[in-house]
Amino acid sequence: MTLSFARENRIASWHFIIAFVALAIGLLFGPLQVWEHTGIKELNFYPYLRAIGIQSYYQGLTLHGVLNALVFTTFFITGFLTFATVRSLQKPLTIPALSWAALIIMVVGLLMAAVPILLNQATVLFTFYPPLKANPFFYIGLTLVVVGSWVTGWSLFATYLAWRKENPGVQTPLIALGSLITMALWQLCTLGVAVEMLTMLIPWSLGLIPGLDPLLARTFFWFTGHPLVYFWLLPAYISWYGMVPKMAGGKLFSEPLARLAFWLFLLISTPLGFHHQYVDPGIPAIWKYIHAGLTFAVFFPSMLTAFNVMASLEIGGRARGGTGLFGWIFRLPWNEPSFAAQTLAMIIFAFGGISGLTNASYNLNLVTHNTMWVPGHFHMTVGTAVALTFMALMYWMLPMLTGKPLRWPKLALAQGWTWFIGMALMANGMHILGLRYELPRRSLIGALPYFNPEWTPFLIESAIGGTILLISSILFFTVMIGTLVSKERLATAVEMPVAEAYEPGPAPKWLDSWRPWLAGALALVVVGYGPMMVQLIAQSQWNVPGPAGRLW
Amino acid sequence: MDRFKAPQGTIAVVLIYLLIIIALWGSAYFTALSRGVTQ
Amino acid sequence: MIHIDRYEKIWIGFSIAMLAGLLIAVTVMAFGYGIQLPVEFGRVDPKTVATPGVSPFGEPGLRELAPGKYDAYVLAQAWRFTPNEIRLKVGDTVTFYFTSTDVQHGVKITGTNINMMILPGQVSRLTHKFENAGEHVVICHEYCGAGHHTMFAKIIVEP
Repeated sequence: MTLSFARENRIASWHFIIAFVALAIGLLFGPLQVWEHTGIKELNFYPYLRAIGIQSYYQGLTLHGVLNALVFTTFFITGFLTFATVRSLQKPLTIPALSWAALIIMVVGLLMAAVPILLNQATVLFTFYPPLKANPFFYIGLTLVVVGSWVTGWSLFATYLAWRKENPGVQTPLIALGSLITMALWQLCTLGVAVEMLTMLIPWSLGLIPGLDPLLARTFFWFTGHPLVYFWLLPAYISWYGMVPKMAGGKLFSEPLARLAFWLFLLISTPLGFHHQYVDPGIPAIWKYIHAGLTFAVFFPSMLTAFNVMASLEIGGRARGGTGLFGWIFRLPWNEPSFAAQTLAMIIFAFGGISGLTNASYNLNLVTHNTMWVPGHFHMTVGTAVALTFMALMYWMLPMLTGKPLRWPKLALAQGWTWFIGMALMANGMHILGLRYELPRRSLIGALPYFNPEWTPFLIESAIGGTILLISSILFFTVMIGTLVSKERLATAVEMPVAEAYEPGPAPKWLDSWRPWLAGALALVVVGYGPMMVQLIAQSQWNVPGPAGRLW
Repeated sequence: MDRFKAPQGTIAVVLIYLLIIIALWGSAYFTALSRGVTQ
Repeated sequence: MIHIDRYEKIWIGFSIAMLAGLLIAVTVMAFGYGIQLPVEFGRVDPKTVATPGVSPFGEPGLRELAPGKYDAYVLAQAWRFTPNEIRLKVGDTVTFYFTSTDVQHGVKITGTNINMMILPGQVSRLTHKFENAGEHVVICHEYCGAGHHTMFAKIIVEP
């Protein structure tokens, strides 16, 4: 008996197409930025971009952030979680119309937001801090993208509830559980940005209210902004826990602890946004300190993940004949593009985790905040752990969706390695520039009046890294397009890899039970944000109108 | 001889990782100390 | 309960111990040694704050409190700091107050731990003692429009 997921495949494919078109455009600005940063005049290509309507570095930077970090991630994740959930539950969507509606809402939102950015009417970067005021369609469009992603979540919840009714007492499969938790976390944490959009940015940009409170806006934004990174990361964890061990010829070392990690993310990802506001005025030290503690707590499930995923790979490496303390590493299927790229993404992520822990370390943030260290950090996390894993997923999902074998697997393998090397160089340079030389982030570095020639070696290291990343991107899209236009057909169908548990048997009931975790997450939000949020709202003064004209 | 019994390699790698965390985090810590107090 | 492998238990123990240790280290550095974050200070009205007589930001610059002790009021506006140059002597201790009258800005003073967001309606405050002669750059580190990268000031510490 084979279930048909043809409809789900079509839905997911549209998500992937939009995601990767956005990525292709967004990526192009990355190398332009690192080249400009070197301060070498010949490497500054922005004057030429005016001919195609890109007016400034900052407009390009807005496109880079919005398309890569917001559009690519959201579209890919909603598609991938749909793709993975129905297979994991072995149940097609119960209300496919809901998923189609979600996709349409997201696309409408994307187009609404894209037009003002391209017309240089929303050059406010992907954090859109007010009172820099963008065209209202930018805010309305982004809001619709989020609403659409909620609706995708509702469609998955409906499917899960129907599955639960048909399978009482059966343990939720891990991949489905991780997907549903990711969606639940997303519904909870996006309330912050939804409130910011609906009560502040949209009415204010439409001229319905005269001003707003920038501190309160930042607080709502970062309520969403940090769990957002777990919304990006958890789909990668779903693959690392639920799929990669199978590719390695291993088994998931501890299935219950994998479940626990996902639940812990749902529990503690949200009430810690003040760690992005450590250096904001207007927030008492005690609240910053509480959120520092909670941020340290949310580091713990990632430590669990490091051990559990690696032990799962060790099972694979030893089953393939690896011996000794480290010999198993070399026996892993390094010639398999999807496996290699994801494992390399994990290695980069290990280091991204360290710089993230540094940012989160209360007053250490004084050293790193808004320096080049920060983009160095998130290019290792969202830019590699997440983005490279998503690309690697396409190396088996595209054959599965098209029935065509992956074209040029050697190029795909080279793509993973070039991304790894390019990112290691670029991020290393950026971290040093931020920590030691105090270079600001999101600035036209080559034109700084205080540009210091001491920076040059590290700026060039970053530029070389960025160039290698451009090559890697070209390899990726070559393989994708090559596969799409190929006339070959797969002899045997590809299946979604699903890792078995090393120790079979269901996890305890409390690891498959929504109520306590959801209640705990809500309670922690109330305790961890409630009092300070109430105070900030009570004290807020909506008297900041923003500049009279456009500042860009 | 090396049929999988316990993740010995994993514990070795993650403990090395722990030392790397402390070393790199420590470099930021000492950078902060070297830049003076703020109150 | 769930079965946890012996090595994994060791790892969980080390992880928690390390996180606790790092948190203790920053706590000591913050509340013991005195590297503190900016905290709440009170609101100002961004429309009137730069008017002379209304607030110290009306006449931005240094104010001497005692020999070698100063308050510095600095106004951040797209795309300049006022004043854009501050001259000090080695050993001076300065408490900096920043506010913005238009959009969000940021400030990092190189070679110090002063690093703050500057928001309209809020005052950001931190203190630094300048122990060595030399120059510090006051960098705007939050995107504030087309001229963002040109927004900076200088602190010159004379021997």
